Amino acid sequence: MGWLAGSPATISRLLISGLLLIVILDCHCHIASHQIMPQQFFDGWSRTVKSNLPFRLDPVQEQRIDELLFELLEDPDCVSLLREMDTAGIDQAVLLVIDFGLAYKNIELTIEEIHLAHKKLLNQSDRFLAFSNVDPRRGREGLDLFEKAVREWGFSGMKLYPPCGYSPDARILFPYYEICRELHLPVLTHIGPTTATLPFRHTQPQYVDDAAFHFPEVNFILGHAAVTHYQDAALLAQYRPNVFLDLSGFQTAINRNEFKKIIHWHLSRGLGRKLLFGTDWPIHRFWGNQRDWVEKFTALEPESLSPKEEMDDILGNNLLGILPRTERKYANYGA
Amino acid sequence: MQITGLNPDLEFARQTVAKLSNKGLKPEEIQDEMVLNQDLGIDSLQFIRLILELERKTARRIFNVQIIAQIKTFRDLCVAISAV
Repeated sequence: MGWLAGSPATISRLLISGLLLIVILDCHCHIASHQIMPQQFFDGWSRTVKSNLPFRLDPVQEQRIDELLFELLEDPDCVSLLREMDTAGIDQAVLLVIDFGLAYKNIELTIEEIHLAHKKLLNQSDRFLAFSNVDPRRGREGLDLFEKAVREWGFSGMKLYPPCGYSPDARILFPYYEICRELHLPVLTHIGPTTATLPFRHTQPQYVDDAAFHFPEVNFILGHAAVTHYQDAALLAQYRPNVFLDLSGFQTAINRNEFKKIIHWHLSRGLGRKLLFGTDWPIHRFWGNQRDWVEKFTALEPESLSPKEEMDDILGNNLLGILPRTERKYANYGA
Repeated sequence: MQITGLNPDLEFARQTVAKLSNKGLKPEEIQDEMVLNQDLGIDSLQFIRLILELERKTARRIFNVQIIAQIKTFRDLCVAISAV
């Protein structure tokens, strides 16, 4: 784990914890950039946020909400993210590419340019990891870009975004999964609702099952699924050794006072080694900063909801166990 | 230290927070160090309502993403308003 040795966040927590290494990895982040997150995505997101507020907005307030949400996406070089990671004690964050290029029109950057923006950040800081995403309907050209990203550019996993119009069990994804199997790369797929301008079809946990069945050596991470569709997701994670659950989006469960119940649901089913801490930066910046989310999470331990070892696993060790650079490269959970 | 007690201009903030709090507190019972979420019961959705109402009352743009991230207590809120 020499790659962690120099990070300020790690050093500070090494001191605090009496040289006991605690690794915090955020498994689910995005580059906050208007070039990378399309206007159509933003429009749907804004409409959803406003429609969920328990009070009426006048037109001036609606515009003000748009302005504040717009600000959330103004960190294209991840300067604010890094600063917040330092404050929160987060060692590394996984930046997830999303290929909106076939789902929306008038995307500013090509999917290759979006990958290169992520590659630039990987080259600048060892605090970031990146998962590649290419819409599988792009054909041979798309597969070539994915291969280049994971073989040459340092991407360490694959991201899927089914709301763009494909299912995780689609056969056109299998060549991608073959590469993931060869290179021991995890696949993180979005689960549950998203922006109002995309369909939610194929975003249920069941659509991952066929892929997880056919590729037992590939670890599948169900994005947000520890919170969204958490009961179905927990069942899949219980019975598929290669299925893990990402907790990003737990901020909304905190808002609804449901988070402790959900965590209890998973831990009582022995899923402490299948849960991955994540924040979905920058989506929830409006409600709190990265330190808030780590503190809300670690506050579970004193409340006896999660013993310390389990908490350490969720915060970082579980993801470390399935990233390609670690010793345990295969989906041998429980072996 | 009750910074808002020294500044009558911020009484509207105290009144707005009391109105949106689910703790049934009177404006004068709100202390500077009270945490908006835990002590005053202002959850994240009500917090949005709070900042919108404060901006409407002051007719100013007070908040941005960086400032919002720093606001935990009633004092933090008053500091943000005073800084504009």
